[in-house]
Amino acid sequence: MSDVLLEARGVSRDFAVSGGLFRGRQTLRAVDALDFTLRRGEVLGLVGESGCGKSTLARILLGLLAPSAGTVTLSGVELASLDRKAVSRRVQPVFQDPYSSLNPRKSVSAIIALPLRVHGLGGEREKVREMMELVGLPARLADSYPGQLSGGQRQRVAIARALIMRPEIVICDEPTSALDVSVQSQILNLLQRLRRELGLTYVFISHNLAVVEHIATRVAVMYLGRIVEEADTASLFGQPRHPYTRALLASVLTPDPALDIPDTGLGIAFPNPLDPPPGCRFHPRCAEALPRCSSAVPRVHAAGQARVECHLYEENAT
Amino acid sequence: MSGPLLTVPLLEVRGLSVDIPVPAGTLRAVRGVSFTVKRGETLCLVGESGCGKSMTALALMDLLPRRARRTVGALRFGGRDLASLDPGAMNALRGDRLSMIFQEPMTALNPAYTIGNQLEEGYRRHRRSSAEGARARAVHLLEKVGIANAARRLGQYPHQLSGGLRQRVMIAMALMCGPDLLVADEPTTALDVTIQAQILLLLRSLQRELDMGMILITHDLGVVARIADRVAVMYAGQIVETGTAEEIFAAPRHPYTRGLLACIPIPGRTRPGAELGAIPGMVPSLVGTLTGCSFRERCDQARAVCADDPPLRAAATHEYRCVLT
Repeated sequence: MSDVLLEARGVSRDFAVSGGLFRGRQTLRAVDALDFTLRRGEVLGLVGESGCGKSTLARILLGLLAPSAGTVTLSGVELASLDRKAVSRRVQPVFQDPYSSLNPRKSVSAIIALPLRVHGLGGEREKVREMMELVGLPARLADSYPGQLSGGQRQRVAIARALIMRPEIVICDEPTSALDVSVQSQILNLLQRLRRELGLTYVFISHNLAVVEHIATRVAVMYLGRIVEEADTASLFGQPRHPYTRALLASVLTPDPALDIPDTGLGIAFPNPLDPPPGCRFHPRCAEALPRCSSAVPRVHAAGQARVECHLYEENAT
Repeated sequence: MSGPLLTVPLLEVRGLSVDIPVPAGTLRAVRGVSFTVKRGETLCLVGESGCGKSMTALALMDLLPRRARRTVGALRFGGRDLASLDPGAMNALRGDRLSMIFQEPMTALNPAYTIGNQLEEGYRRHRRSSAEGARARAVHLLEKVGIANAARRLGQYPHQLSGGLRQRVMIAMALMCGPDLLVADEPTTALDVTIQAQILLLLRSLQRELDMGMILITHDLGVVARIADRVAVMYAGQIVETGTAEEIFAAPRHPYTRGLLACIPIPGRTRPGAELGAIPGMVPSLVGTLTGCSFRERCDQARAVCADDPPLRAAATHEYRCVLT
C-alpha cells in the first residue's frame, strides 16, 4: 500500500473548561482515542458539525497542540520528539480566515518570506517571486499590505506562505469558507493544481460536503471527538454506512429546485460535549438506534481502508 | 379580506437606489432595483459580497447607515406608501408588520438583556400587551422554533446559548407580532448544514401558517434552489436577472448567473476533481458614474455593444439585463 506520512494512534485531547461561577472546572474531551492515517498523495476530507473536534485534530497534526494521550508520528518518527521547526518544514497550515491569519502590518512579500527567515534560509527574493507566480499573485502586489487585497488574493498569500518551505503535507482548515462562490472555485482549482504540480498531500477540513466530495480522495466523518466512518470518497458518498453520515449527506442542499428541503430527522439536540451520551455517542439522535446503542460503545468494523463505528454492523445485530 | 388584496403584491419596490458618500465621491451601492413580493411567496436575493443585497434589505426597513441616501420611485407595502411615512409611523410598522432577521445572531442580540426581555419588548410596545401576555407569546414562539424548556430560556442571556439556539431566538423575535413580511439576511450562513436544513424547514412552515411574504438574502445557491419561489440575482448594485427558481437554475440567461452556477461543484453533475468554472477579474468600483453593463469586463462574451446600458429583456416571468443571450 502507499506509504503512510502522518499517523495518529489513540490520540486524545482534553481541555479544562469553566463550568460556570459555582461549578468549578470540567474536562472537555475534544478528541477521543482517535486513530488516523494520512497516506502520501491523498486528499483526506475531514467533515462533521462544529464542535466535533476536527479543528483540534488539525492542530494536533500540525504539532501546535500536544495530545493528552496517544502518539502522532510523521514518517514513523514521533512528533513529540521532533522540534517545531522540523515539523513545520514538512507540515503547513492554511486557515479559514485570510483576514485574521495575515499580519496587517507586513507586506505581502514579507509575509510569504517569513518561514524562510525563521529557518534561516536565503534566496528570499527569488523564492518569493517564484511562489507568487505559482499561486497566481501578480508581482506588483509584493509591496502591498493585506488590507489592500481582496479575500481571494489574501488566501493566495496564505497558500504561498504555506508552500514556500516546500512542505509535503498541507492542512487546510476551511480554506474557502470565508470566500465568495466565484473566488472559492478559483482557490479550489489552485489547490488542485498545486497538489498535482508539487506532489502535495492534503488534509482538507470543510463543512461544505459538496466541496469535500469534489476535492477529497478519502473522507473521514467526525462526531464528538471520534471518527465514526471513513472510506474512499466515492463509497462514502455513494454508500454511506453510519446513520450519522447518512443524515449529514441528506442535509446537503444541492442546487436543484425540483428537490425539497430535507428533513434529516437529526432533531435539534446536539449533545453536550462536556457530558457525552453513554454507549454510542450518536444514539440520542439516531433514527436506527438499537437497545444496546445506549449502553455499549460500538466497535470499529474495518474492511480494507474503510471503517465504520456502529452497532448496526455487528454480526448479530437485530 | 376582499379580492384586490390577493392580486396586489404585498410589497412593491420600484427604482430603489442607495447612494453612500465616500471620500472619492458617491458609492452607488444599490442602483434602481425593482421587485415585488406577494403574500406567501419567497423571493431570494442572491449575489456575492458587495452586490448590494443587504443594503437593499436595510433600505426597505429604513435602517440604512446615517450617511446613506435612499431614493425610490415607489415603495408600497400592504397598500401604504413607505417612502412618505414619517419615522414614528415607520417605527410602528417595523417589528410589527415588517420584520427582519439579521445575519449575526451574536451581534444582533443585546448581550446585557435576557432573551425574555428582548422577545417581549417589541410585542408589548406594538401590541400594548401585558407582561403576562407577552411572556406567554414568547414561550409559544420559542416552542414553535423548537427550543425545549422555553420558559427557562427566557431568563437566559445570549452568551448562554449556542449559535443555533441564538439564531432560533432571532427568528422567534422576528415573528412575535406575526409580521406580513419577513426579511431574512443570511439566516443560516453561520450554522451547520444539519441545523440549516431544520431552520429552513421551520421558516417555511411558519411562512405557510402566517401566509407571510419572505425575502431571503443569501449567497448559497443550494438554499436558493430549495426555498425560493422567485430569485433575483444581484451584481454591482443591480438586479441582473429575475425568474422562478426553475428558470434561474435550468435556463439561466445572464452570463453572471451562468458563471456563478459553474463555480460550484454539484454532486452527481460535476466530475470529482475536475476544474471548476471561474469568473475572472473583480467587481468594478461602484464609485462615480457607471454606464453600460457592469459585468462586461469579466464576461467572456462581451462585445462593443455592452458599453451601452443593457436593456431589460423579458419572457413571461423571466427578466434579464443582457443584450447577448
